[in-house]
Amino acid sequence: MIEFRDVHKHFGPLHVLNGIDLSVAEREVVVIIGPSGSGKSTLIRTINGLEAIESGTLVVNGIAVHAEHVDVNRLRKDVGMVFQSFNLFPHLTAIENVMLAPLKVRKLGRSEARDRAMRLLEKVGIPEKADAPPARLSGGQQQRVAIARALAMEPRIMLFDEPTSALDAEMIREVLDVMRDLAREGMTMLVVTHEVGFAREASNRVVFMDGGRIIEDSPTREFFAAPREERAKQFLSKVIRH
Amino acid sequence: MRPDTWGMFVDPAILRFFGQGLLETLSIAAASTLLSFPAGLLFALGRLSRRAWIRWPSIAYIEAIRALPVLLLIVYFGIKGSTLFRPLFGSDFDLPRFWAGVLGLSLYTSAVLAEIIRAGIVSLPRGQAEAARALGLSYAQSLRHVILPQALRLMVPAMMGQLTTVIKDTSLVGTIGVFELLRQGRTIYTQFFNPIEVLLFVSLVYFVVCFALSQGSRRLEVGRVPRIAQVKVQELQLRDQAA
Amino acid sequence: MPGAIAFQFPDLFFGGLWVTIQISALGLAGALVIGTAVALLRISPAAPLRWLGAAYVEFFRNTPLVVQLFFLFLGLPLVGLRFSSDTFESIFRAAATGMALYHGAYVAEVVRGGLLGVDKGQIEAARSLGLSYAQMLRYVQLPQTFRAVVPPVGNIAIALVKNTSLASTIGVTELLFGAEIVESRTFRAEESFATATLLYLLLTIPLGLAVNYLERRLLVAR
Ligand SMILES: Nc1ncnc2c1ncn2[C@@H]1O[C@H](COP(=O)(O)OP(=O)(O)O)[C@@H](O)[C@H]1O
Ligand SMILES: [Mg+2]
Repeated sequence: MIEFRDVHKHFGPLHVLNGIDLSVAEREVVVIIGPSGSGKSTLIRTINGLEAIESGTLVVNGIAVHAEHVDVNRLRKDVGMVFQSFNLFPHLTAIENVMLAPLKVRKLGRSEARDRAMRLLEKVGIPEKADAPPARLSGGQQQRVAIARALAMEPRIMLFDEPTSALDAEMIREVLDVMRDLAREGMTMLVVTHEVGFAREASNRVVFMDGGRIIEDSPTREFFAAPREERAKQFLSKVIRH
Repeated sequence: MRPDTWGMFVDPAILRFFGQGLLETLSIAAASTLLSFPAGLLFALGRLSRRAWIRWPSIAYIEAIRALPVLLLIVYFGIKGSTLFRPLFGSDFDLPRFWAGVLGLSLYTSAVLAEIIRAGIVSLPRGQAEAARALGLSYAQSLRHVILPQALRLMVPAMMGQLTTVIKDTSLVGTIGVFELLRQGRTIYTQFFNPIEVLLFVSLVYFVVCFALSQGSRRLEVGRVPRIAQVKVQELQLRDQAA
Repeated sequence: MPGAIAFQFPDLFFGGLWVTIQISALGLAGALVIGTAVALLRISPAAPLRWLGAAYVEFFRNTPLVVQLFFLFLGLPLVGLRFSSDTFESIFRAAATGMALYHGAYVAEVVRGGLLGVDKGQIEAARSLGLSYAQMLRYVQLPQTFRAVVPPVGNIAIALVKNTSLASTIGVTELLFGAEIVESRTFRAEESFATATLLYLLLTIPLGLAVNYLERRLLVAR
């Protein structure tokens, strides 16, 4: 479903993606971990074309993202993304945030879009906040609206870039619960996170990145039992301690 | 001083004369604002375009116009406005002086509005555009539904502030023979030899309109304007407040 | 070819440019003095002085500069105030005074912002050292506003250069009026105004670049 082959990218002198090979099958949940600055965000942002790649091939859902004339908008309809900073649209209410793309991109009718949005808000557990502006929601609620917003396009792949890093412990749980449900329903997911608990329970594989490379790519159980790589081991011991 | 002429400011005929001038002033300001807003929006987007052949002409237009006195533009269109439009509207076309003035003011105001709007757009968090694009909205759709509603709302006070400048600048259009407020005043004081009284009265009228507008714009609640936008707006308000 | 006409009428274009520069320089100097004084009124401990400062700023910012120029040019002589016995000198001075008064109001707001931006601890420290209010202003508060004030004052200077064109409305032969005279003699409007445009850009673009440079440097340094 997602296939990276020898993908490279630079930011100026910085080799931020250095020969990435990675494939993710349908219904797989892959957690990406690694120190800050290792290229995790850049990696998942290439999948929906928010970052362009320089060389190698990247095929997502049958679309060659590396090609010259790729229709990124078609690609993005099938790839949902959730950001660390939520990025809800502050001038729209919660439900309007969820309805926007179905209305404008999928061209649904208003009532159909509203019904669907309401169902999604129920799914993420905050139907009562439908008409509230983002400014009046807690961080956890905002992130759940953001997930509902991404799901409203009925994506086949969901990307999460540190979805809980900006949240307090209490709210982290409510967001992770929603993500766990999604994983259980068989959504294909790529999740950048340091939530070891979530990785253990909900993911099939763990990918460890450092310095723009994938250092280790192991089934979840093996990774946590005994990371093969020394750097992953060190990193893990640091993350788990707090 | 002609203290005996103060009485004229309660004479209905004189007041009507001033009233016509004020109406003309407000009409010029309104027409200029209505013309320059869409133009300013286009130039703002042009300056943000990724295509160099759109971006560079937009930058050149905005910066060159902002570097010029608005009076120069007004005087130029006052003299040559008709000739400029004759290829379009026929060889006996005469550009009304009102529209020559509006054209000069709009050219200038569109460049300033472009910068105000651009400041609003670039001050939005980058995540807004990214989230919109990640949902599959096209560039135009994300502008229309996500970026512009926020940026324009944020910039309403700055744009209202620019409106007070436009109103003050309408006083320059009298120099090409439009009978706006100041020009009406000049007609009166050349007849009654009382420039002090008339100019004070005219000042008072401008003051009431502009002060009300600028206080109003300051009181507007539009949410927190990011610091980079504040700095840019201050720069514009200092550099581009003409007369 | 725009520009060539400038050499045909050098006293109107280059002479006009020189008048523009002179009015700008005098006007800016005056605006700085007036602006600083009014800013000090605006932050004075005495309420009536603060009101006076506020009234000055609001009046001059909310009425058109041309009206103020007409007032100086026509009104003052009627109450016996003359800038000079020589008419040309008199309108020149009226124009420079108008520039100083009008832009002084903008300078005042900028300087006031700078003064209010100085850390309260600085003021208390100075007063506790025994400096008088005036000494504290002179030696502690005013010098510290310099940095914050330079770029915005640069922007006001650019506005001022452009606004000197309004002196043409009271008959000062500055750059714009020079171009209008050439146009009326030659009917070569495009060349005349394009030449004036070039000469204005010659003044305002370098000023703008300088302000941007200072803005960036002073902002980074803070
Ligand atoms: N747009 C950009 N321009 C320049 N450098 C960038 C940009 N985005 C990220 N970087 C740099 O690339 C490196 C990897 O960034 P990122 O993918 O965000 O890492 P991670 O998400 O693992 O923390 C970092 O050093 C970051 O500073
Ligand atoms: Mg990151």
